[in-house]
Amino acid sequence: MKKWICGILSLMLVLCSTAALAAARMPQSRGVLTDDADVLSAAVSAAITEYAGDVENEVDVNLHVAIVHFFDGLDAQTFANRLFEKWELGKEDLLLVCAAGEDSFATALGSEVEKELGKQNVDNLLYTSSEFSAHIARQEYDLAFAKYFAAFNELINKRFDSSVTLPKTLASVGSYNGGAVQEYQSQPSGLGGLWNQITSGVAGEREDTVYMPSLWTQTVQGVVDNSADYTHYTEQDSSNGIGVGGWIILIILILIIFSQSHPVRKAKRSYRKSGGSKPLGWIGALIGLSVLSKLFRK
Amino acid sequence: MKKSLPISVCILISLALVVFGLCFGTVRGYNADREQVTALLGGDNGLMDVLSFRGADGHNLCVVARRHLTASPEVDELSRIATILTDDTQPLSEKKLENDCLDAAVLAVKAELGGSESYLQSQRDQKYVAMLEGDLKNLSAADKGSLYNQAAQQFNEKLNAPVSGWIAGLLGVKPCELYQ
Repeated sequence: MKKWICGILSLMLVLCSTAALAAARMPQSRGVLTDDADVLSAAVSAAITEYAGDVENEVDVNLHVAIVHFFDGLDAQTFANRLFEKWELGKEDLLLVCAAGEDSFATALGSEVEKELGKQNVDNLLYTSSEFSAHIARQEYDLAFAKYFAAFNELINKRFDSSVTLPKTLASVGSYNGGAVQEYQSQPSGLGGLWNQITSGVAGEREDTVYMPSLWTQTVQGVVDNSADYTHYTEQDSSNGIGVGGWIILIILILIIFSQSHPVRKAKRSYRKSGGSKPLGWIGALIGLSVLSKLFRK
Repeated sequence: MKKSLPISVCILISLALVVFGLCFGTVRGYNADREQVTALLGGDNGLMDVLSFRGADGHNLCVVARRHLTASPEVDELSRIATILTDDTQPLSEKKLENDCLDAAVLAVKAELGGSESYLQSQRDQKYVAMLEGDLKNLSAADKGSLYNQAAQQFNEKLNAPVSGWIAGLLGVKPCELYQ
């Protein structure tokens, strides 16, 4: 019994501490691959997108890959789970997140995918079967993802009894062994993305410019926009109050109330008796102007 | 036969309607103004988010620094500050206090990293530190704190102004908390 209570309390503590953490910067989905860290080569990026399409067609599993530089203080699994929610992924989705600057990664699975593949099996792909973690630690991102998807392909073909094949690029990059990494990376098409080029000096980045991931640039722009929204609001004519429409409705209500008063009804009756039929005279009687004019005459 | 209302009752009802219109309009207007000021604080990319992003950059820098420094009090201090800045439950005054110390803590960690041989050899981590410093600078450049304080002060002054401000205050419109 005590164990149960302790378990529930620990769970509540974990949930509370997670909820207390403020929002981390999370990228917008750009489809199958969201490489905000810009670490993958164009060839591998295209191959991952192609492979995800094949997997979706063959076994109904939707692959998503998100690469950022950092997890903003969250642990990899929390970041993966939050991004899975933010992107509104469902039962048949699998999300692989990786923080290039932290050498850290995790997967989040939809319920159907978890049932079919098993969380443990998918996590094993990251650490053992594919040497993904080792390649990430060495910043060999193309190789890491190619090897991961090669191992993933074996797993889904086994589990779903399917025959999905890897695109040529992924298969060829993934087939490089440790000794051939240098050879692979020396090929022009094998150079990673912008970040890889900058860190290897290929891009010839100027000393006075600092590379910024698009996610951070967008965030700063969002901060500026938030301030601009307020400035715009203050510059507009402040429409404090109930507005013109509100006042018109209020005046109509008051006129209706006054039209039900004793003197106005009396005036209306006498107006009708006198044979008055002009619209303005009728309206004047309705709102009691005749009563007011009588009062002034007195 | 329909019943007629005495003129005094009509006048009273009309007055009540006018008073209602004035009060409703005042509260609506003040609430709209307050909503705008609150959006500067807690809205998407508002001051709280900026503090949180700065805290996140602090955490990220700790990740980079820990690859080269073991048991560093400077990194621990930066991590403590970053944790407070990214914690939604911390009061605004506490966050302001820690945010003021963040830049100094970052500089202290950077100075410590400068003495690390492995850091000096890592082009990647030097780029990351430059990138994080740049982001911290960009987030500060928006000067969200001053803008929010100015907006909150203006709103609070308006709330203390005679008649309309008093009516809004009486009807439950609250002043904005200052970032101090």
